Amino acid sequence: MSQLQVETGAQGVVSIIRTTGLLNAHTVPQFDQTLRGLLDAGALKLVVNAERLTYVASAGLGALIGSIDEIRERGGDLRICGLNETVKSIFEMVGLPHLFQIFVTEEEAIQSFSA
Amino acid sequence: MKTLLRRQFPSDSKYLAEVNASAREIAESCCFPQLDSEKIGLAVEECVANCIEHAYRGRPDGSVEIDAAVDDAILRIDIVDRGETFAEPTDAFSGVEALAARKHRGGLGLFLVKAIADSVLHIREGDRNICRLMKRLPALGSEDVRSETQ
Repeated sequence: MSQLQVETGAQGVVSIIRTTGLLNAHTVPQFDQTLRGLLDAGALKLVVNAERLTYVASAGLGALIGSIDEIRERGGDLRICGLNETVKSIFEMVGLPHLFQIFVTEEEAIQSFSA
Repeated sequence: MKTLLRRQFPSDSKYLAEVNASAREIAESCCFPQLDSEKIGLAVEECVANCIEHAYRGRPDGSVEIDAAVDDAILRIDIVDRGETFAEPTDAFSGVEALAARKHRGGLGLFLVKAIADSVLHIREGDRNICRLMKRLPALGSEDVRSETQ
Protein backbone atom coordinates (compact mmCIF):
# COMPACT_ATOMS: atom_id res chain seq x y z
CA MET A 1 0.00 0.00 0.00
CA SER A 2 1.29 3.44 -0.91
CA GLN A 3 2.43 5.69 1.95
CA LEU A 4 0.27 8.54 0.67
CA GLN A 5 -3.03 8.52 -1.12
CA VAL A 6 -4.20 11.75 -2.70
CA GLU A 7 -7.75 12.22 -3.94
CA THR A 8 -9.20 15.29 -5.52
CA GLY A 9 -12.73 16.55 -5.52
CA ALA A 10 -14.62 19.76 -6.07
CA GLN A 11 -17.49 21.63 -4.55
CA GLY A 12 -18.53 24.47 -6.83
CA VAL A 13 -15.38 26.40 -7.66
CA VAL A 14 -13.45 25.02 -4.71
CA SER A 15 -10.99 22.22 -5.45
CA ILE A 16 -10.31 19.81 -2.65
CA ILE A 17 -7.20 17.70 -2.11
CA ARG A 18 -7.80 14.89 0.39
CA THR A 19 -4.66 13.28 1.75
CA THR A 20 -4.39 9.94 3.51
CA GLY A 21 -1.15 8.62 5.00
CA LEU A 22 1.98 10.66 5.47
CA LEU A 23 3.52 13.60 3.68
CA ASN A 24 7.31 13.48 3.74
CA ALA A 25 10.34 13.65 1.43
CA HIS A 26 9.35 10.34 -0.17
CA THR A 27 5.69 11.06 -0.81
CA VAL A 28 5.77 14.80 -1.50
CA PRO A 29 6.27 14.44 -5.31
CA GLN A 30 2.84 12.78 -5.46
CA PHE A 31 1.25 15.68 -3.57
CA ASP A 32 3.14 18.21 -5.71
CA GLN A 33 1.94 16.55 -8.89
CA THR A 34 -1.68 16.73 -7.77
CA LEU A 35 -1.41 20.35 -6.67
CA ARG A 36 0.41 21.32 -9.87
CA GLY A 37 -2.23 19.58 -11.97
CA LEU A 38 -4.99 21.57 -10.30
CA LEU A 39 -3.10 24.87 -10.66
CA ASP A 40 -2.37 24.18 -14.32
CA ALA A 41 -6.07 23.47 -14.83
CA GLY A 42 -6.82 26.93 -13.44
CA ALA A 43 -7.91 26.10 -9.91
CA LEU A 44 -7.72 29.16 -7.70
CA LYS A 45 -9.61 28.16 -4.59
CA LEU A 46 -8.07 25.11 -2.95
CA VAL A 47 -8.67 23.20 0.24
CA VAL A 48 -6.22 20.61 1.55
CA ASN A 49 -8.06 18.18 3.79
CA ALA A 50 -5.50 16.67 6.15
CA GLU A 51 -8.03 14.73 8.23
CA ARG A 52 -6.41 11.38 7.39
CA LEU A 53 -2.83 12.63 7.35
CA THR A 54 -0.87 10.91 10.13
CA TYR A 55 2.11 13.25 9.99
CA VAL A 56 3.79 15.84 7.86
CA ALA A 57 7.56 16.34 7.60
CA SER A 58 9.43 19.43 6.43
CA ALA A 59 9.20 18.39 2.79
CA GLY A 60 5.41 18.45 3.04
CA LEU A 61 5.41 21.80 4.80
CA GLY A 62 7.76 23.07 2.10
CA ALA A 63 5.35 22.00 -0.63
CA LEU A 64 2.58 24.08 0.94
CA ILE A 65 4.80 27.08 1.67
CA GLY A 66 6.49 26.97 -1.72
CA SER A 67 3.21 27.14 -3.62
CA ILE A 68 1.15 29.66 -1.66
CA ASP A 69 2.62 32.82 -3.14
CA GLU A 70 2.01 31.61 -6.68
CA ILE A 71 -1.60 30.79 -5.80
CA ARG A 72 -2.18 34.18 -4.18
CA GLU A 73 -0.45 36.02 -7.05
CA ARG A 74 -3.11 34.46 -9.30
CA GLY A 75 -5.81 35.77 -6.98
CA GLY A 76 -6.52 32.46 -5.28
CA ASP A 77 -5.85 30.87 -1.94
CA LEU A 78 -5.10 27.52 -0.37
CA ARG A 79 -6.79 26.71 2.92
CA ILE A 80 -6.24 23.73 5.16
CA CYS A 81 -8.54 21.66 7.37
CA GLY A 82 -8.69 18.58 9.53
CA LEU A 83 -5.31 18.73 11.28
CA ASN A 84 -4.72 16.08 13.91
CA GLU A 85 -2.87 17.01 17.09
CA THR A 86 0.54 15.99 15.74
CA VAL A 87 0.21 17.84 12.44
CA LYS A 88 -1.27 20.88 14.19
CA SER A 89 1.65 20.96 16.59
CA ILE A 90 4.18 20.81 13.75
CA PHE A 91 2.31 23.55 11.87
CA GLU A 92 2.46 25.73 14.99
CA MET A 93 6.17 25.08 15.51
CA VAL A 94 7.01 26.63 12.17
CA GLY A 95 4.34 29.32 12.28
CA LEU A 96 2.14 28.02 9.47
CA PRO A 97 -1.06 29.38 11.04
CA HIS A 98 0.35 32.86 10.20
CA LEU A 99 0.50 31.93 6.54
CA PHE A 100 -2.58 29.76 6.02
CA GLN A 101 -6.18 29.88 7.14
CA ILE A 102 -6.82 26.65 8.98
CA PHE A 103 -10.25 25.17 9.67
CA VAL A 104 -11.55 22.23 11.66
CA THR A 105 -13.79 20.77 8.98
CA GLU A 106 -13.72 20.59 5.18
CA GLU A 107 -17.14 22.22 5.05
CA GLU A 108 -15.90 25.23 7.02
CA ALA A 109 -12.88 25.57 4.76
CA ILE A 110 -15.06 25.44 1.64
CA GLN A 111 -17.58 27.88 3.08
CA SER A 112 -14.79 30.34 3.96
CA PHE A 113 -14.34 31.04 0.24
CA SER A 114 -17.92 32.35 0.11
CA ALA A 115 -17.42 34.75 3.00
CA MET B 1 24.85 3.73 29.05
CA LYS B 2 22.02 1.51 27.92
CA THR B 3 21.73 0.85 24.18
CA LEU B 4 18.12 0.91 23.00
CA LEU B 5 18.52 0.44 19.28
CA ARG B 6 21.17 0.04 16.64
CA ARG B 7 19.75 -0.35 13.18
CA GLN B 8 20.79 0.39 9.63
CA PHE B 9 18.50 1.71 6.93
CA PRO B 10 19.25 2.07 3.22
CA SER B 11 19.73 5.69 2.12
CA ASP B 12 16.42 5.57 0.30
CA SER B 13 13.56 7.91 1.10
CA LYS B 14 11.06 5.05 0.97
CA TYR B 15 12.40 3.94 4.38
CA LEU B 16 11.82 7.32 6.06
CA ALA B 17 8.46 6.29 7.49
CA GLU B 18 10.10 3.20 8.98
CA VAL B 19 12.88 5.36 10.46
CA ASN B 20 10.23 7.62 11.97
CA ALA B 21 8.35 4.68 13.47
CA SER B 22 11.52 3.16 14.96
CA ALA B 23 12.54 6.44 16.60
CA ARG B 24 9.02 7.01 17.86
CA GLU B 25 9.02 3.56 19.45
CA ILE B 26 12.33 4.31 21.18
CA ALA B 27 10.88 7.53 22.58
CA GLU B 28 7.74 5.74 23.74
CA SER B 29 9.88 3.11 25.46
CA CYS B 30 11.55 5.98 27.34
CA CYS B 31 8.11 7.14 28.55
CA PHE B 32 7.94 10.30 26.46
CA PRO B 33 4.30 11.36 26.00
CA GLN B 34 2.73 10.43 22.67
CA LEU B 35 3.05 13.85 21.07
CA ASP B 36 6.69 14.20 22.13
CA SER B 37 7.41 10.68 20.85
CA GLU B 38 5.91 11.59 17.49
CA LYS B 39 8.05 14.74 17.35
CA ILE B 40 11.19 12.74 18.18
CA GLY B 41 10.28 10.33 15.37
CA LEU B 42 9.95 13.30 13.03
CA ALA B 43 13.28 14.82 14.16
CA VAL B 44 15.14 11.59 13.43
CA GLU B 45 13.38 11.26 10.07
CA GLU B 46 14.46 14.81 9.17
CA CYS B 47 18.08 13.98 10.03
CA VAL B 48 18.00 10.84 7.88
CA ALA B 49 16.38 12.79 5.03
CA ASN B 50 19.29 15.25 5.30
CA CYS B 51 21.82 12.39 5.07
CA ILE B 52 20.10 11.06 1.96
CA GLU B 53 19.90 14.47 0.31
CA HIS B 54 23.28 15.92 1.27
CA ALA B 55 25.69 13.11 2.26
CA TYR B 56 24.54 10.66 -0.43
CA ARG B 57 23.11 13.26 -2.86
CA GLY B 58 20.01 11.14 -3.31
CA ARG B 59 21.85 7.88 -4.00
CA PRO B 60 19.92 4.96 -2.46
CA ASP B 61 22.93 2.61 -2.23
CA GLY B 62 24.34 4.03 1.01
CA SER B 63 23.23 3.36 4.53
CA VAL B 64 22.24 5.36 7.57
CA GLU B 65 22.57 3.95 11.06
CA ILE B 66 20.37 4.88 13.97
CA ASP B 67 22.07 4.34 17.30
CA ALA B 68 19.98 5.18 20.35
CA ALA B 69 20.99 4.96 23.97
CA VAL B 70 20.04 6.34 27.35
CA ASP B 71 22.68 7.74 29.64
CA ASP B 72 22.20 9.77 32.78
CA ALA B 73 18.50 10.44 32.09
CA ILE B 74 19.22 11.65 28.56
CA LEU B 75 18.07 9.96 25.37
CA ARG B 76 20.87 10.19 22.82
CA ILE B 77 20.17 9.31 19.22
CA ASP B 78 23.05 9.25 16.73
CA ILE B 79 22.22 9.33 13.04
CA VAL B 80 25.34 8.11 11.24
CA ASP B 81 26.17 8.05 7.55
CA ARG B 82 29.32 7.38 5.54
CA GLY B 83 28.60 9.83 2.77
CA GLU B 84 30.19 13.14 1.88
CA THR B 85 30.84 15.72 4.55
CA PHE B 86 28.13 18.28 4.56
CA ALA B 87 27.98 21.53 6.40
CA GLU B 88 25.03 22.64 8.45
CA PRO B 89 23.01 24.98 6.23
CA THR B 90 23.88 28.61 6.88
CA ASP B 91 20.61 30.04 5.57
CA ALA B 92 18.83 29.94 8.90
CA PHE B 93 15.06 29.67 8.91
CA SER B 94 13.72 33.21 9.02
CA GLY B 95 10.00 32.51 9.11
CA VAL B 96 7.42 31.00 6.81
CA GLU B 97 6.50 34.32 5.24
CA ALA B 98 10.09 34.79 4.02
CA LEU B 99 10.19 31.25 2.63
CA ALA B 100 6.86 31.74 0.87
CA ALA B 101 7.96 35.04 -0.65
CA ARG B 102 11.06 33.31 -2.05
CA LYS B 103 8.93 30.33 -3.17
CA HIS B 104 11.55 28.39 -1.25
CA ARG B 105 11.05 24.95 0.24
CA GLY B 106 14.23 24.27 2.19
CA GLY B 107 15.50 25.17 5.63
CA LEU B 108 12.62 23.81 7.64
CA GLY B 109 14.02 20.38 8.47
CA LEU B 110 16.92 21.52 10.63
CA PHE B 111 14.73 24.16 12.26
CA LEU B 112 12.28 21.42 13.29
CA VAL B 113 15.08 19.17 14.58
CA LYS B 114 16.50 21.99 16.70
CA ALA B 115 13.06 22.88 18.01
CA ILE B 116 12.33 19.27 19.01
CA ALA B 117 15.67 18.15 20.47
CA ASP B 118 17.32 19.73 23.52
CA SER B 119 20.60 19.77 21.64
CA VAL B 120 21.87 18.87 18.17
CA LEU B 121 25.52 18.19 17.40
CA HIS B 122 27.10 17.60 13.99
CA ILE B 123 30.33 15.61 14.20
CA ARG B 124 32.70 14.35 11.49
CA GLU B 125 34.54 11.27 12.80
CA GLY B 126 36.77 9.48 10.31
CA ASP B 127 34.59 8.76 7.29
CA ARG B 128 31.37 9.19 9.24
CA ASN B 129 28.97 12.08 9.66
CA ILE B 130 27.25 11.89 13.01
CA CYS B 131 24.21 13.94 13.87
CA ARG B 132 23.63 13.56 17.61
CA LEU B 133 20.27 14.45 19.10
CA MET B 134 19.92 14.68 22.86
CA LYS B 135 16.65 14.85 24.72
CA ARG B 136 16.24 14.76 28.47
CA LEU B 137 13.90 12.02 29.63
CA PRO B 138 10.49 13.24 30.72
CA ALA B 139 10.86 12.16 34.36
CA LEU B 140 13.45 14.92 34.77
CA GLY B 141 12.47 17.56 32.24
CA SER B 142 14.38 20.64 31.18
CA GLU B 143 12.36 22.86 33.49
CA ASP B 144 13.30 20.65 36.43
CA VAL B 145 16.96 20.85 35.49
CA ARG B 146 16.81 24.63 35.23
CA SER B 147 15.14 24.99 38.60
CA GLU B 148 17.63 22.60 40.19
CA THR B 149 20.59 24.60 38.93
CA GLN B 150 19.21 27.98 40.03
